[in-house]
Amino acid sequence: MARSLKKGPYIDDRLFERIEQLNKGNQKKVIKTWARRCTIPPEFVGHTLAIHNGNKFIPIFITENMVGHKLGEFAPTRTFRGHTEKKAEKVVKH
Amino acid sequence: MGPDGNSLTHVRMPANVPEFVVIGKVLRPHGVRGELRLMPLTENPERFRRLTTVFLNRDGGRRPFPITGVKLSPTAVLISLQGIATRTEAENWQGSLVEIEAKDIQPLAEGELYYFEVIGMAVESESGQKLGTVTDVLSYPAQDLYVVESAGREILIPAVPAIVQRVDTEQRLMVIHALEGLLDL
Repeated sequence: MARSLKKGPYIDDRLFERIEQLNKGNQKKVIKTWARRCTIPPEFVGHTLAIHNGNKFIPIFITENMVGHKLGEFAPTRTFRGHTEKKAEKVVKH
Repeated sequence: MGPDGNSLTHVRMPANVPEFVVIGKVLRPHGVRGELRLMPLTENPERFRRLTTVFLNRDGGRRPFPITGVKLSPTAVLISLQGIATRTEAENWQGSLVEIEAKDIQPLAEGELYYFEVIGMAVESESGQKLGTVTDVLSYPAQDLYVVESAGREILIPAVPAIVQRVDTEQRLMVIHALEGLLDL
């Protein structure tokens, strides 16, 4: 069942406060977080969050199109690495 | 539209291209007429339609095969090769890599790099501090991550312009903006 609209999105208070402090000081630094269930508000855009995947922290740069999604969606807990081929015609997009 | 059916403008030929580039892997035979079912290892599976010859590489032994037919499905590529006419012949190539010569590689759009260009690249911070060497590229839902080996440990670097400031494919050098905390994860 979807979350009640009356409650609004769930945003981790401590994480939000830390990001707001960085925004006030116009600073950028990587913040470690375990709050995978936290919804991404627009204030997070442009910051890099190290999201815990149960094993290690995955640094993820937050962009506009990630707003409204949960942090955990971007740091999978089960990584499928079966098709890695280093000489493949695969592209990294910046 | 570009020649590949997408709207990107191709601006650069890749550097440090290996002699042969992998574009797929043979999964299993398909049918009884020697067709092969491939898992594409390229960004653009449509490119199979424009190829005339591919190389099958099994345990380092490489053999060229002219292409006689290609069918694309959402999950796989079906390919017919001259010289493979029966299911038994096709079974012999199960698990082999499908390769092309370096000259057949596709040009890149701006901001794009092939995995093999990046792997082995030296990484430095903006202040010139040597951080290590890229050993792998991980594909994550939000962005790709470079795995940088630095003094026996791994550092993950998001492949975004805000962090990766400059990539010099000729000098094999990547300059990153090392945010506070990024190197200590």
